[in-house]
Amino acid sequence: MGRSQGTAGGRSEAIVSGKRKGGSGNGGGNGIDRRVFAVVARVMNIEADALAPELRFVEDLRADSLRVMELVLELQEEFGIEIPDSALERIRSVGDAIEFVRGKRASGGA
Amino acid sequence: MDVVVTGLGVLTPFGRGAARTFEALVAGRSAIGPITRFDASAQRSRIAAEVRDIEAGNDLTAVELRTYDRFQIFAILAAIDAVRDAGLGDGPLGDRAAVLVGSGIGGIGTIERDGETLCGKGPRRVSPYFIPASIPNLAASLVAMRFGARGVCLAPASACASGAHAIGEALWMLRAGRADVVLAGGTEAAVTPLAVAGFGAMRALSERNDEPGRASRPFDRGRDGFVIGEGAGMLVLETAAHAAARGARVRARLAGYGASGDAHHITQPDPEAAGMTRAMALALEDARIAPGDVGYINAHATSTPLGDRLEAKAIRELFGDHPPPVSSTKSAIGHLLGAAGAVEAAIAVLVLERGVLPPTLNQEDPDPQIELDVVPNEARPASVRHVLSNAFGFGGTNASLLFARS
Repeated sequence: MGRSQGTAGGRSEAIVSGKRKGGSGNGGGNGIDRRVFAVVARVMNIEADALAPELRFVEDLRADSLRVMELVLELQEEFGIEIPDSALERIRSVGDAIEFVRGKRASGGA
Repeated sequence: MDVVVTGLGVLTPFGRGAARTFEALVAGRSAIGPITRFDASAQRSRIAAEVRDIEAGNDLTAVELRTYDRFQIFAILAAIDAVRDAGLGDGPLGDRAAVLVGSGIGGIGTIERDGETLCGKGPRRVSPYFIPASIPNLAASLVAMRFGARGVCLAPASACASGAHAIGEALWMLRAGRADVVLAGGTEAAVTPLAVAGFGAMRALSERNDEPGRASRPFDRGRDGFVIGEGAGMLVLETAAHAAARGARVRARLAGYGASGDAHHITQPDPEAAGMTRAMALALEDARIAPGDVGYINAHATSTPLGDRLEAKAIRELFGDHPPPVSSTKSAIGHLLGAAGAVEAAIAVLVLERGVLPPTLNQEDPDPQIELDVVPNEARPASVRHVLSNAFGFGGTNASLLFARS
């Protein structure tokens, strides 16, 4: 029981391995995509090529609220941006995160 | 109601596994070396007994290893080993299983790291895991989660006596019928820049930096402070009835517990050693045995000038002119702070089982003020029925555990 009770990472691996085949690789070569994938993969302890934009952090990757906050922190670090709490509602999936970062950069972020 | 030990889990600088630590102690090896976990070049004390490889194997995921503080990881690994040793399986232990895991300091490594983040990058960069990874009771909670133990779950904090108090309080809890099984122990991971600097500022640490293996020398005249160590110890304790009902192998009986307070000074022991003496006397009384029945004492003796002398005085006070052999395994593994009492409790159980007393290393120049047989330098075969294990902590808190052969 000990293992299966596990962590966000442990659960994520199980969920994703069932889902990954439909994934779209590592995001199609775009730099931002790749970097977001890498951050999510590191935080959630999942292979980057098991990720797909449609995967949601809580429902699909089984992140708890702390893991989501850690992810936000890591994205801020990676891209040198601020992600306000008011934006969190909109960032629920890998694709949302990519879109948010892209928007920030377009509007003059780092 | 008898309370028995059915499982041991030990993680020390000698590695993972109770037998491994015990065998290294008996072989007279030292686990003390230069600090490698951080740049200690400006510290007063630059030596420690570090856990070099936690040997987590498949017991922890990469996310767990990254998220939890080292003191929590140590506790989980020691608990896994103790529960396996007890043959309790992986299933939920349920409402009648309690977890008492003490720590002297908690996640100080995490506190230091996030403190640096706060100062360097600002409050909004502090990790969401900072609080859970640093609060002392999360070691107990993580152990409880791992095994589905849903009884009382808490972390006794009594500095360097934390692990011993956890085990002693578990004894009372089991006798009072408040649980059938308790995972009890202590954990510490304070080989960190701030902790080493802080103990150094108190002049509590050995500064024999050029001779790490000879630095921890409890009872020896040349002792100049303790050597910091890290690790965890965990015992599975059960009522004898519960152990018998599931056909568990009984490794020893936890027969007595004595606890006392000095109410004297923030760090110094009472100069009369009355609190230490009383803790030992209460443990014997609790176990209904006479001083002459005790075959060995695993001393708290950390290698500080005052503490060792006062513990020796307390032992002479209680045991008179013929005290049993006394050794301090801190001479080999350093002082594991809040984990010390729990690791040494496990050592006490192994002494009963294996009939050999681990030595006090580095005995070159006996302190004339210490009139004890300290089992100098070499292990000694001795068939003993009762072992006393002492742990004393800053703030004047004392615990003494009495283990009996099953």
